[in-house]
Amino acid sequence: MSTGDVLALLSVLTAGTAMGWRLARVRARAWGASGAERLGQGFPSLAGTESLRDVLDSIVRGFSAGADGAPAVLRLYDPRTRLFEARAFAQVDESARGAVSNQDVTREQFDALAADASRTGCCLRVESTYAFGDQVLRTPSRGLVLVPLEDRGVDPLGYVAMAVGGERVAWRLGQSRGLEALAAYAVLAIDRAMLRGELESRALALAAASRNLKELERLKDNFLSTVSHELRTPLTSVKAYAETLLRQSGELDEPTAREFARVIVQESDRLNQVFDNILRMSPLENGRGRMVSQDFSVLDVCREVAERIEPELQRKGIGFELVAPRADVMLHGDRSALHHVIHNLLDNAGKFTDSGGHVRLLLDEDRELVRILVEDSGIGIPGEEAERVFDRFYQVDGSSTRSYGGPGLGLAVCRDVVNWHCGRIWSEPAPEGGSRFVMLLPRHGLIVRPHPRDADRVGARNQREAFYRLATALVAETMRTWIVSIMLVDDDGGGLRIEAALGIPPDVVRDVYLRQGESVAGAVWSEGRSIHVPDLDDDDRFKGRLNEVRYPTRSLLSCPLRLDGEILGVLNVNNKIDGTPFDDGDRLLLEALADRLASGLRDYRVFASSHETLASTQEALQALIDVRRQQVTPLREEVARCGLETARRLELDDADLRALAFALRHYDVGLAGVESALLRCSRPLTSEERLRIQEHVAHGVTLAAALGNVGPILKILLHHHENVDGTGYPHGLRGEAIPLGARIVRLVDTVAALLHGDARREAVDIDVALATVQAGVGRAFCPRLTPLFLEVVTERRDRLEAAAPEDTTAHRAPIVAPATAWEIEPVGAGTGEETR
Amino acid sequence: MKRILVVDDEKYIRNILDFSLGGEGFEVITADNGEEALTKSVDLHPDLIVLDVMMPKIDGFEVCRALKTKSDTKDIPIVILTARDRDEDRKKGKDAGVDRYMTKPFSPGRLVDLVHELLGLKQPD
Repeated sequence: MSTGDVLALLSVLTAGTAMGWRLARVRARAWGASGAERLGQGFPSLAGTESLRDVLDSIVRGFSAGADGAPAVLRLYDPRTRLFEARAFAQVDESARGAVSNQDVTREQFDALAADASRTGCCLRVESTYAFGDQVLRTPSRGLVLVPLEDRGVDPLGYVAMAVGGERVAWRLGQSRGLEALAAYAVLAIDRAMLRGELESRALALAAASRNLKELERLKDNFLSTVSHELRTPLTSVKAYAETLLRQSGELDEPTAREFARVIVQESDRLNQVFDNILRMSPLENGRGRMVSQDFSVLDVCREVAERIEPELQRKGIGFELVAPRADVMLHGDRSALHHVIHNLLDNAGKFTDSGGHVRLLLDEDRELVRILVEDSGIGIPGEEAERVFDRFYQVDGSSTRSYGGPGLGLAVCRDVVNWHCGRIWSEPAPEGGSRFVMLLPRHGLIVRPHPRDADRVGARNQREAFYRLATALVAETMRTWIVSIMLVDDDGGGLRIEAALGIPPDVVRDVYLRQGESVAGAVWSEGRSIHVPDLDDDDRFKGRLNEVRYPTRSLLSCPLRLDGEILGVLNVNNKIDGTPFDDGDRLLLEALADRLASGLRDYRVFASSHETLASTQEALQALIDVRRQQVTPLREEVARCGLETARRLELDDADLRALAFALRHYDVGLAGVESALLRCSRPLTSEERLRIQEHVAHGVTLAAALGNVGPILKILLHHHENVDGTGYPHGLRGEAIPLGARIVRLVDTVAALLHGDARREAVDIDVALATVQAGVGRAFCPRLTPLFLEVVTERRDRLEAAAPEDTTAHRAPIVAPATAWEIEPVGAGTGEETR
Repeated sequence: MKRILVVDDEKYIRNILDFSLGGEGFEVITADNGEEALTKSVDLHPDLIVLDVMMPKIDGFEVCRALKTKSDTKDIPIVILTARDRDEDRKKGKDAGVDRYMTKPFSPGRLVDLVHELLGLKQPD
């Protein structure tokens, strides 16, 4: 800011001081001392070189000083959360800052206030009786005034709230043209600073986009190279043998000719399998329209595949065995896709097993699941590759050495098919060496009730099914269960029907019809409250009343699907995967999920929303599922529970606990937008790479916002990397100004990351993790919450230790966003201050 | 009898080459990876090598490079037989010192002709 600018501003301010805001005061109190130069130093320049945080600090100090040192808070509006967030304070002590920050000011509250409050000049005077978040600033002798900061956009930029002495002062302040000028100047300065931040992040995004393009180009090359290798290998055999047969037809003896013909037939089959893999790859297949569900015998499918593959293995000198229960194993799913998957897995096992080894196909089931295992005695998969083998573009690392042959497209297709079935697949070391692929499939796959309106709209049924597939998968993944049902109140409001279900027999889905008050779901509908049955056998409420539950149930949770106060239906889950009963934390989590799904459910039911809305809902659901699938481990679940328990002891209300329960499971959803190579990178990151990872926070908020109105959750997601000393991101909030939930997630994230380790850091034990957190109190972690959290972790130590991964499965450690280095560095392992 | 080393990680390809070259009176020995190819080249002194590129452990180009820098193996003619058919791959082969470059899918008859030619033998008609 040049001296000329300063003088110009000063003259504007001076002109406005006649009504009580006197120049002397401005000079003496507002900016400390004499002279226009000091004014220029104290107030943000329009050059926009200061960070937004410094700009906001100067502005709020300016306002406060101009109003006789009144306590002041500056809130900026975030259109994603629809909240006004407290971003800077003046003359407000630390505990009051926390109180202010914890009072959410919504857009609706602000608009109502702007309409109701009496306005003097640019000032809104807030009556003492008016319910409004910033009233906590008010004292008996000081009233509340607001100065809106508005640019010409659709949304307000924010406002400054001040507690000023008495009505008269407030009135005079409103009359002051100096204040008006200050507000206008503040808007400009904030706009500039934000623009600069925006430009920086755009530049970053642009650089990332160009890198992504290059990466895509590389992936495309790799893909083509994989495909051509997989196609040409069998084709080469077919051609070579066929040509030899043709050229030497007269000279070949009968057994040789037969053998050649057999190779041709077998390699043609292999070629066909490769084609099938390519066609089944989702991008080429347009939403997997080819997949259809039916009831079929998995045992039959296993036998069919075995019949085809056994002779091949035998010729290679590999023993083969199908181990299956005597009784039939039935599954509701896509028969041909499963046939293909089992074939891929056996083919893959054969590829990496030498003569003299064995391959085993094991089929097994329990009440809810079909379990298919493929074991071999081959070379095994190195730990760090175990997850990557399912990557679509894995195998070709660009070089021509196939370090361990490479599974090619086959395993990527397996994962796609298993995901479609809401199942799970992973690889692990086999007990006797070699590798083992484990595939778990819910016995009753997803069923979606056909809807009369489906016929009115092209593709409506597919779209609805795609939505329900994502919605049930999200609930199943988040709640750790295999049984999910979404019930909706039918059109005439007479009863509840199952609209979509996973893990429930088709006749139950078809027949269940509940009136209000009838059974568990009917009771949830009529009472509008969740019902939680930890253990059905011990629960007197439902003994003999659950006639409609014709599928095995031990523990259940049922909660209303509510939208704008109206109950649309009921969301049910049964039986956790690990066999433990649902607890109250699970109840909060399910309620949070129900809130997320409700608006999507309405949209899909009536198709009221645009295609774009539906698409962004789907993208958000997919991201939540993907990140969750990559991250979920029993240990992470346990640490999350510690976080929720900490919040409970702080006596948060149900709504806040719900938001936290959801955020604790999905805070890293934005990682869906970060290249996985970056997350797996084992060298120290450059500062630019760190910025790219930091972008996951903003991306996560955008994704989560696509799932409807989730203000409190978005606040947690947005701030879960803030440090109490103000060195975190994205806003550099300090201390109590960071939302409580975000401070808890920060602790949970750090402890989970320490216990798991990642590409750059070894896992540490609980003692080291606790000491590391303790050492970060006052820097990254909240001094008020941390002792409580550590207490909870210590109490639950046994559970955490039981959930810790063993060495053999350590390679399944989830991806985590690398936190800033120091906080994750075990105590005594060097300073690691490089990030700051 | 001329000895030919066939290197490929696909069993069927090894078998058909064994059949085709064996039928022409060559002694055929085989290897299914780059490492084995290097050992057998040194130990068994083949007169010619038919070499795949994409293999476990060491790729064909590297095998070629290694052999062409050793005094006792540098004169063994090497035929690359690979599915990689891009210009950059051919260049890599040339840089590694390969004698001939043939792409898959291939004609066994033509490969046999090529082997005869490289060994300076009379081509059968």
